[in-house]
Amino acid sequence: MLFNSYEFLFLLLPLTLLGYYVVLPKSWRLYFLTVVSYIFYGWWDYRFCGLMLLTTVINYVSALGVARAVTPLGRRSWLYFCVGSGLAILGFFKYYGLFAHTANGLAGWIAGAPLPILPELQLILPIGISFYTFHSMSYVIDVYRGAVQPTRNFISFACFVSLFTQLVAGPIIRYRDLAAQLMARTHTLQKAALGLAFFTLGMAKKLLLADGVSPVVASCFGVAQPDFITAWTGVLSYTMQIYFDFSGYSDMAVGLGYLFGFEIMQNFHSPYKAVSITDFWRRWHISLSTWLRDYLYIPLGGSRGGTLLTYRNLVLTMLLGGLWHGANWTFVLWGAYHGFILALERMTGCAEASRARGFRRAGTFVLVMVGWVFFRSANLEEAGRLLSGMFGVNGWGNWVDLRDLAGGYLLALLALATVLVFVAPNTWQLKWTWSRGQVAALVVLILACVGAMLVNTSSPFLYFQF
Amino acid sequence: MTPENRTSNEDKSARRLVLVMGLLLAVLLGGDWFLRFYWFAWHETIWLKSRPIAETPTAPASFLFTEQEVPPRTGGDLSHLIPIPDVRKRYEERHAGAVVTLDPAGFRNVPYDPSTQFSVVVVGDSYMAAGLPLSNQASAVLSALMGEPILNRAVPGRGPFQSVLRLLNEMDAGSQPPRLVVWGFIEREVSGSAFARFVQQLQAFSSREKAPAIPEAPAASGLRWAALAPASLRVALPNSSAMAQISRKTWSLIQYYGARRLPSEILVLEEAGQPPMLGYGEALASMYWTPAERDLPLAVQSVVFIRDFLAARNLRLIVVPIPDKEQIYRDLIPRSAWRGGQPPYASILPAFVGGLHSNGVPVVDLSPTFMAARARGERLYWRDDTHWNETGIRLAAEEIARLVSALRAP
Repeated sequence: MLFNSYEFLFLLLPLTLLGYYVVLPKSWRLYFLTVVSYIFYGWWDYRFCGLMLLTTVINYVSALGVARAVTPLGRRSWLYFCVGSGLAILGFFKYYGLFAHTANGLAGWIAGAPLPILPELQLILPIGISFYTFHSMSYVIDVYRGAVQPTRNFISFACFVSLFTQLVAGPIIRYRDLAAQLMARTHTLQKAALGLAFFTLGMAKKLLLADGVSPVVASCFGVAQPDFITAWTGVLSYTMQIYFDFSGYSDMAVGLGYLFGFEIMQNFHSPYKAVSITDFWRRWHISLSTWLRDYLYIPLGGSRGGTLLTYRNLVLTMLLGGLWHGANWTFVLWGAYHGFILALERMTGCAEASRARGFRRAGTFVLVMVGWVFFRSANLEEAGRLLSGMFGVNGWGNWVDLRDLAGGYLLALLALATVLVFVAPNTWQLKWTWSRGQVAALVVLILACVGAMLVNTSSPFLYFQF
Repeated sequence: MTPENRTSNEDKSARRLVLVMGLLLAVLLGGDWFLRFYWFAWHETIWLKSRPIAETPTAPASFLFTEQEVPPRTGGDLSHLIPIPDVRKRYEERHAGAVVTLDPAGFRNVPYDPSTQFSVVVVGDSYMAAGLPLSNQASAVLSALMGEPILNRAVPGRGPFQSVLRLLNEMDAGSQPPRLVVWGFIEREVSGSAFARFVQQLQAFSSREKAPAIPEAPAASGLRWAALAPASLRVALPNSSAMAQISRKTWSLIQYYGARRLPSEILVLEEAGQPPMLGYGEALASMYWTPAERDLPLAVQSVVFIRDFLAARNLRLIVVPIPDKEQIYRDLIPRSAWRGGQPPYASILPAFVGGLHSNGVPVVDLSPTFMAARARGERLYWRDDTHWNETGIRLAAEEIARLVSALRAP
């Protein structure tokens, strides 16, 4: 299920709130949330639930195994079993296709003729598998490191893995951040109001801003030989789309969490105001970058092995981080791109400089935009096409053609989005007084969002007149 | 102010938002679900009123026809999607009213004697039920052409399948003389998934004693579980939502007053020297279904099953797929309405008809007839409505009559 769907907003969520606050006894709340989360997840495809349950069981058992094992070898075996199985499941469903396709391509190139050496299976990718695999792996790794006690309460762990507020698109939550809250959390009106505010703003960002500029992205990226203006407009729109879509969804997740008493971490902190790429990664998808830092970068050695090793660790971590986003070489390229810039910044020490902030902000923004070209492109040809347009290979272009291509209103929306991103406070920086004005604004926003969602998902009712 | 007071003030203000949002949700939710049943009659799609097929025919207590006055109106189902009256007037046509007669089962039929033996019955969607006065209805035109009484059992507004189910409900298999069932439906309703779902319904419907040739299945419980599956609800809930229709109307107004654009569910088909005609956006959307999405082979297979299912009940099926207005007039579709800069797929009717032919299912191919009529300058559909007009109905009836005589020839 999606947050912005009729069946969630007007069927599952009201029933869940009713059951949670009104109908069911407090001791049942965790079971209830787990069941609701499985319904939410299984709505797409009930078969996905089985896989998630399997992952949950493997990690629950492994954590207890790690804690109870006597020898270091025993503890390590449990850890390897858990991480190995998690990555194997993730690797199979998500990356087998890419692997087989590439292997077949290489074999064909070597042999000179098409030579499928691996069958290309039609696998359905279980939604959110990257997220819940990372959620549960972080738990066992933390138990191994002694950072957290393993839980005997299976339902509490199952709820943590499957919690519908962050299951599908994050933020990636560590068990230690949620452990105490699963057992005991407060439910105040202040939290409920914050939850509603975050949810409304998140939905507005996603449905009104992100979905609003997405036609511009499609139009500009669809041009065969984009000129300078078209290419940069397309990339700018995508920059806005991905930020508002992702941060909007994270805000909705945080809001829903607050509605049920959970306090979930901030995932975005005005990333386009960053003054360096290093700073960017402290502001963009914070839960992922901290996860990669704690469970990949530091185990690889972090910055302790000397400069060359540090650079290697940076690039490798970012490369794998890119691959995590999707099974495509473009994601790997995007990751490598960011990794190299991070290494470069470390080398020149410019991340630490404090002068010319405006200039550095603009420069970082341009670097980030170029990175998004790889992220969005379906393949390297498309990326190449757009980059050549951005570097002026196809000429300058003109504004009238752009307006015909994208539409005047949408370009105005794009301009608004860009201004907001640089000038406005982000959703976590807003001061809530719950004045009449604020309440009215939120009500208007949520009505607009619900309207937009309904228009997109419904068909016209042809009232039969005869 | 003490900290406790400040906290309780915060809580009081926070309560304002929670109460307002909660009230809003309750009102929207309650209103939407109420209207879903009261106005959209959603319960009719999820609850199948089926009764087991009776052993002996039940004679109705009294056989009375009721008269109903259908007033004349301006505008059709498409022009009604335009929320601005001045704009709407440009496309409207005048539709004549009439006094219609309803038989005891509630269908529009020219009055007939209760002892009448109907050897042909017409079923299908709103296209087969369309036509005012009654003499313009498909069954009436066919009856005049063939010189025999023809029963109308077409159900408007519920798609191609409901009328077949209602016919099976009403009829008494086995003890009836053999009948021809003329089943008409519009092209955009043809899809493998929809037809396969109907086959599943039939399988749940069948009664073991009456049709031993049909694979056994449990009797229908009344509740159509398929309608409550996540995949169905995902489509059905927004489509039966009053909120959604209000949002669409509002968005149409905003689009018009803001950007002088008509709602996307309407196409304007302009031909030189002719007043403009409206087309249906959803039909255009169906013209972009890939072959995999349309799944014609599954649709053909399903119709073959339906043919066999009806044959086991002494019913002989004739299929009449009706061409989409947007396919007959496809050259008039504006380029700006094209998706992704590509023209829509060609009509699936030739392939559908061909598939049915090769399986021995009698089918009327209306595409060549309609295209020829259009070339002669005849207009086969209303300008302001998705439905066909008298000319279209008459052309189809002529083709159906031709096929029926061919089938009956020794």
